[in-house]
Amino acid sequence: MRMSFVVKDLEVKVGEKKILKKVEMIINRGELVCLLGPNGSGKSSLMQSLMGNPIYQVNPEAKIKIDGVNVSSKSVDERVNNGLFLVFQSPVVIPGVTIREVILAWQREKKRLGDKFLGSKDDVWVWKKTIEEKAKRMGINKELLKRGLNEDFSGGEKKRMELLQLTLYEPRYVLIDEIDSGLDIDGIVVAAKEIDRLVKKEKVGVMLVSHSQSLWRYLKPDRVLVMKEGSLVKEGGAELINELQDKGYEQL
Amino acid sequence: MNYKTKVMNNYNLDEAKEFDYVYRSGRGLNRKLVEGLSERKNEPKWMREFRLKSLSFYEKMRLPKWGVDLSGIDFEKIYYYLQPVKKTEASWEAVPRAIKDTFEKIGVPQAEREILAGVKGQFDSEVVYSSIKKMLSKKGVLFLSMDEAVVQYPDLVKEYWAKTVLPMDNKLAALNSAVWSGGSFIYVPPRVDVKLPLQAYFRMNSESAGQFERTLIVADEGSKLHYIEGCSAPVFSTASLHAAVVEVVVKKGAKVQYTTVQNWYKNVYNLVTKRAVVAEEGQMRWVDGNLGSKISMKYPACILRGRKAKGEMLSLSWAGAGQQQDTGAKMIHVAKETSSQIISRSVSRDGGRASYRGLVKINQGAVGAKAKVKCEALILDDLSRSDTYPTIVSLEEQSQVEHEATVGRLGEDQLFYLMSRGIPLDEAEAMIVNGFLEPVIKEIPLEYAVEMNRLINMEMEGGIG
Repeated sequence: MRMSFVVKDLEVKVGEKKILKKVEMIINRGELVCLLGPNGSGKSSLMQSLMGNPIYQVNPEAKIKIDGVNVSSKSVDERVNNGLFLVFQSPVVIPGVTIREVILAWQREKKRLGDKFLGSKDDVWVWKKTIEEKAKRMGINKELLKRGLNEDFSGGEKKRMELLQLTLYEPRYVLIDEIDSGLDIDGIVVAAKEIDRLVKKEKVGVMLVSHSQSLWRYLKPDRVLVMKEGSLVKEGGAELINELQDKGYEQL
Repeated sequence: MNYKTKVMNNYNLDEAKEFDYVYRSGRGLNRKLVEGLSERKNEPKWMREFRLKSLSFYEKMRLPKWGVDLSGIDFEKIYYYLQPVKKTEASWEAVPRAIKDTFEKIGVPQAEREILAGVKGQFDSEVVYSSIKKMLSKKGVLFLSMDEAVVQYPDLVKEYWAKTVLPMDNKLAALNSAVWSGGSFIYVPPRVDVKLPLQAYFRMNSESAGQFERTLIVADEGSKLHYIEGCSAPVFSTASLHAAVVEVVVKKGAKVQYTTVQNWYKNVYNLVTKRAVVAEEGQMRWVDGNLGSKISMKYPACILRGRKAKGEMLSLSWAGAGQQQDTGAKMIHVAKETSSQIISRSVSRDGGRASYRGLVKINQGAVGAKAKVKCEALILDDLSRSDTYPTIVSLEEQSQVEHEATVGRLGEDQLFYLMSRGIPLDEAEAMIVNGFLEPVIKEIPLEYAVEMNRLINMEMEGGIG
């Protein structure tokens, strides 16, 4: 079995409108894939569909395989437990629900599914410590952890919180939707470092959408995919980023 | 004379039970019943006369025409007085087995009784168990059933009796005034801080049993008290009525919190009049959680009579299938520099209806008064409904009123987000609801907050959606 994230024959509609056409792609473990494309070309829709957002209707023939397991008819939470994670471009506010409660609810679910879970009282404290330590690494103020998720967070704080959750979940494949927007330059460095560590050290397969040059100054993608009008139209190496930067998407 | 009544209870607590009643009145209400009731309780003459006068008000008055439909109550079919055991039991050992079982099943564990300052349980219309720790009597705090208080401290009771809620206030207050039975009387002497919350845990246990407790709390100057009232009742085949009256007197500089966790079964009409009068620099805080009942109408009030008096209301309402929660608060600013805050959160689901109904009134001359109202509603499906009826009357120019109301639906985007963090749909829903209610739940003492979360999760699991 190949250790990879594979998408085949994916077509997506919202209502009657077809927004993704015959998408086929692959992300290998330990690979950083850059997804580019003009505004409205379907990049975010692709990531949301792969994660299982119910507003996107996926054709029944589509295959979304995580290390050989087809998750295309599985629920969102099941996809997470198969090793997929989505970093949101605009994470929502969930009042009164702290990150610790989210993590513990996820752990309870894993325990229910029979996954290894220490489950003891100590574990709650272990998680508290883990969250605090990693938050510090992400430059997140401890006070933010006590609030509801993203409650009164700045744009940059939201993004750092997404990064924190990404590292806590230890996924095998990650879809990252514009992590850089809203982040200051220090935040971008933190994000780039973390993504680099995940890809190289943890051998995570990452697909990353970013319009900004600043992130690509710190990260070098293994491959670049270009999306236009709901289809993947071009594939190339890192040099494609500069090429598109110079010539724009019109040429495609 | 003993009566046996079979009570069915399917709230996964217990099975059919039988209870012995020492005395049960006939159905319906009349002068003879009220006189007999007063006599059985060995009440002083003034109380008997008060009851009879209240009965005449009750007979003349009409039910409120606004808000909710109360036509389902058949006042003729209600037993107005039930007395399950002969007298208040002095020790736990003397409490009948069937009643102990009931207490155990509704979750008043031994440990809790030991921890808390005093547990008073009301079984039907009579307090059957009461324990008051030595600490209370040492400090001069009185905590006993209202019935006992009338007999043992008639002058003290009379001084404050029905001064805050007059019998003619509304038809149900008049009804309570005529047939009241049980409830608590608390007196806290000046500058005494009752550090542990005092609790009353009571339960209705007979078909068509009316519950008309009457609670009177007097917090003398500079004293401090937290009183907790929680209840659960079994399922009945016909509608039950709960019409309590609560009066709180907050004297100069005193602080009182009154916490209610209401989980009546879903055939109960819960029509309660609660009011506090707050003197100079006094503080009154109502914390009110309404989960149960078929219909609730409850608008705890603070009359801010002294300078710098403060009133606060934290309200949480849950309206599930067949339920209507019509709740809110009244804040009446009479004196200068008084302040009030109302925070209300409601959830409606499976066709339930939650309404916020409130009044903020600032009288002329209440210079520098400040009031804040914030109500938020969460609607979980298309069958359910939420309404807001805020009334603000400001007769003083030099005052400030803020009002904020929002109604929201459970967001699909919030659900997707939590599910993308590995949490299944039903749990994600429950988390969002609990998170929404958190600002009120965190003000409820821990053991009740845990219970509240558990009940909400149970409701979420049991829902149709």
